[in-house]
Amino acid sequence: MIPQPKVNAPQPAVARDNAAPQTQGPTLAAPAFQLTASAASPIQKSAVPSIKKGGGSRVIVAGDTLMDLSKKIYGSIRYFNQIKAANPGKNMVVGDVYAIPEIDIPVGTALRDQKGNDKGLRDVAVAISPADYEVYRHNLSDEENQKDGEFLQLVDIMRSTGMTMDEMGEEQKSFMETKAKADNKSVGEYIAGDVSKRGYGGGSTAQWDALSPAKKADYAKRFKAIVKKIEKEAPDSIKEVIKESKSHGGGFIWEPADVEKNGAFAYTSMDWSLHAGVKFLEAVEADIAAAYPSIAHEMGGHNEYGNSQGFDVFNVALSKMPKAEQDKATAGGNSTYSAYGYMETEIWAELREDEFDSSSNHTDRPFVATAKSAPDVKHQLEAIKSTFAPKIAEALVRSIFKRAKDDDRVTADAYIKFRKDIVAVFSINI
Amino acid sequence: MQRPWVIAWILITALAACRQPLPAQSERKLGADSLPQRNEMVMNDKDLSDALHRLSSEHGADRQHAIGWLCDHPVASRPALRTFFEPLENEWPAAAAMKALECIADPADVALIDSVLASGKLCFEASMALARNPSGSALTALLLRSDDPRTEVARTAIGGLGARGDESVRPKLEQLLGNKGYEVRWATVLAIDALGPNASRAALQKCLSTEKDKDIRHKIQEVLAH
Repeated sequence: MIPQPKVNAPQPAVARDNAAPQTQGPTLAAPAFQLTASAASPIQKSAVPSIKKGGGSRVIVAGDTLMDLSKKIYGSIRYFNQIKAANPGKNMVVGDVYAIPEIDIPVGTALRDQKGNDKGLRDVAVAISPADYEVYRHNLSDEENQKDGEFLQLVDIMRSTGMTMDEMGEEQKSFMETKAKADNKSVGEYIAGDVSKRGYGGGSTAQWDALSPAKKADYAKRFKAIVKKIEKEAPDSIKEVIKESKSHGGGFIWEPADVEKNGAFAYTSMDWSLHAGVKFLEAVEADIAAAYPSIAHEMGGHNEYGNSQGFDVFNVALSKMPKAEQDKATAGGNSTYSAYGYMETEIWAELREDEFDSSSNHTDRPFVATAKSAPDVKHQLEAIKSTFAPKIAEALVRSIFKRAKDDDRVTADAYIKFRKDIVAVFSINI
Repeated sequence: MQRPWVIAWILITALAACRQPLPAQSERKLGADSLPQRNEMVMNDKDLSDALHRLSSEHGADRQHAIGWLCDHPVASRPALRTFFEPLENEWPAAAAMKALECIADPADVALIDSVLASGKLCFEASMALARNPSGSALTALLLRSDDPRTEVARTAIGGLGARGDESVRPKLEQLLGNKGYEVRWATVLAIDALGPNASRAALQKCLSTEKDKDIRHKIQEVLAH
């Protein structure tokens, strides 16, 4: 049974009016702590939901220290003074019975204390009621939502599935094994097939290599000029993306050979930079607005999103397979990330790009279908659905949706269209 | 130096190829200018539309795999691929569509590909598609375009001649070493290198003694050192 708040929390307001709150409950056994009531009135920034941890007593054994006890019981060493204060005159002698004070720990603190602790984080994540969790998320500032987006997403996924990352890896492994069996393949062969179909092994640089030194120098000079123009004339929201990129050491990088090799219009190496080549330059010289979707997408979207949660799950699944199967899975030389990690971050990049999307968009479009281009968000959602175990796929998508809802860099319009696509692909109530 | 009758023949053949109506798939003739029958894998309309849609992807993997799929299904994909150039509206997906046509290498597409090259757009992609195409008319088109007054068209066509690997173009390339355009001469040295420089050693040596540009001289020395 899952612990419930002692007082019913109010139905929280959500960040955007059109969004219903996520109401799935956790499914695992109760962790060893209790929840307290949180807000008793409509949500305010001051309403801080918390988790009660501790209570009861503990017999001291050899090697115990106050800090160890604090870490074990509350998830952090920072509460050792409260244990000490609750046991005046005692000196950690083996056999001593120590009173363990019950402490209200704010939900955010309790979660952050478990960063890097797979089971601990899951236990805290699933113990928080939907209402308390909404209050906690509502109280986060825009800056906190953006800075901790990746971590909060993991918490969301754990809440949706009720699983640790390790358990998700197990679930994904079983899913891939079942698919492999249906294809009459070993799981390593199945993954290798998937990676060869969707992964990427790199292209050539023939077009760039054929240019004369003078032509190459001319392109480089033109690129410098166009970057200046972009930085001067871009709309404010693009200037913000560029500013953020530079604060992380990124910027515009002229890398025509690598861009061609990657078969990209422009790309990022998750270095907060936009790597550009000849196609990008020529398109932007013809129309400066052609740069904005790529800047929002590559420099902004992919970098803001950070690690792909699904790729983490895939890697855990892979690590659980026999070495021979792992070797088969990765033998092809193509990138497993392209097949198992790219979809999530691409969705985020498309959500960011949507603000600058128009019929003159050179690359594929986030939501608009044309005769020669499918809406990319839907395409990536379909790829997630076919790649991951159903429970994990749904949790991944819900977590991206929630992150989009709470991040004001994603426009309300993009968020609404994203929701429609999720409903269409996953047939779920979100 | 090319003989006048050779140039005239090239021009006539190329013009004839350009004027030819674009044949529909069902009208393709069997023979030297037709592809052998391919064993197309099981496919449906959704597979085709998915592959076509992915040509506009930002993601190299998506585009590359879409090109591969379209290449494996030429009967279904060719008519659809041709629409990317009729007219050519967005160069990004069209560049990938051209790569698919390059891979398919159907002689019936030569006139279309040459018209793209002649338009001055996607010159590199079109030249490579002509280079890969087994048709004699593709070679004719490249020869014709290698004399185009527009540098981009000429230099990419010359690159196509080199990539094609056809010994018959060597005299033309050696002649182009004396072209007044720096970009054309640069592309010609690379094309001779791709064709195999040994048979053109004398022409390259001669060019080295007269070439004024240091980059081209350096490149010739590199090629001769191979």
